[in-house]
Amino acid sequence: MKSFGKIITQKELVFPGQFAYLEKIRNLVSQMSKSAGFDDDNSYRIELAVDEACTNIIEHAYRGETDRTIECLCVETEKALLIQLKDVGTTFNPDLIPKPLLNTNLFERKPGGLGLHFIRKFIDEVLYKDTSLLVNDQKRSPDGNYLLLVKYKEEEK
Amino acid sequence: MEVVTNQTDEYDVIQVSGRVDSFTAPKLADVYQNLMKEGRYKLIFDMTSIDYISSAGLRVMIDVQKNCRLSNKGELVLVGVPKRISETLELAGFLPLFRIFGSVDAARNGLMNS
Repeated sequence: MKSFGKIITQKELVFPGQFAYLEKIRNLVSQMSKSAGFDDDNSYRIELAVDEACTNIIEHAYRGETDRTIECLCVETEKALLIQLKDVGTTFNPDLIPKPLLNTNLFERKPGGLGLHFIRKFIDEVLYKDTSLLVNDQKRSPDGNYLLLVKYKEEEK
Repeated sequence: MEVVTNQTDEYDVIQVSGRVDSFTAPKLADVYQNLMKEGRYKLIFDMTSIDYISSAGLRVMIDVQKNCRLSNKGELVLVGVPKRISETLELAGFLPLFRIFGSVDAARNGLMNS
C-alpha cells in the first residue's frame, strides 16, 4: 500500500442499514469524491463501488435485520480518497466469494458476485479487517467489520 | 426511479429514468414480471434516461432475458445505453447477452426480423 499523505478533510455519517438509504450514502460519496478532484466518470465508479459494498453489508452481514447501522467514514488525503464502511453484522470475507463467471452463456450465468467484481475493478485497494484501518485507537478486540476502499488521485497512479 | 411502459400489438417499451439500485430494482422487476405474466416477451428496455444502475438492476436484466429466451422468440433488447452504463455492462460480461440498438425503431425492426 502506498502512503496516503496528510489528511485534507474528512466526513463521517451513520446510516441505517437499509436499501432505502443507499442513495444518501452515494450522495455523501459523490460529494467527497468530486471535492477531492475526481472527474464525473471516476466519481460514478466510486459511488457504484460503495453502493455495492453497502448492498453486500445489508444482504450478507445484516441478512434482513433493519435495525443495524453502516458507519461511513470518508477521508480525503493528499494522495487518495479513503472510504471506510463499518458494520456489526455477520463477518463476511470478500476474498472467499468466488469470482463471477463472465464468459458463460446466458443460462449458466449466476445472479451473484457482480457487486464485488465492480468494487475490485473500480477501486485501487480493497482492505478488510476487524478493527478500524484508519483511526489510530488502542482497541485490541474486534468491534465490527471494516471495509476500506482506497481510490488514488489521478496524479498518484 | 420512474418506469413508463408503452405497449403495441407486437412489443413493449419499458422506459426507465433515474437510479436503479437495490432499493428500486424490485419495482423494476415487478414491471417486467407483470408483462411476462401477460405473455409479453418482446421487450425493449429504453435506458436513455437512466442515470445510474448497480448490479441489482443488472440482475433484473439477466433474469428477464432468461425468461424471454425461454419463451418462443422472446428477447429483451436495449436502447439508448448511456456511456457509463455501457462500461458497467461490459465489465459484467453482458454485451454478448443483449442486443443494443440506437433507437426504439431500430430495436423494433431487430425484434420483428429475428
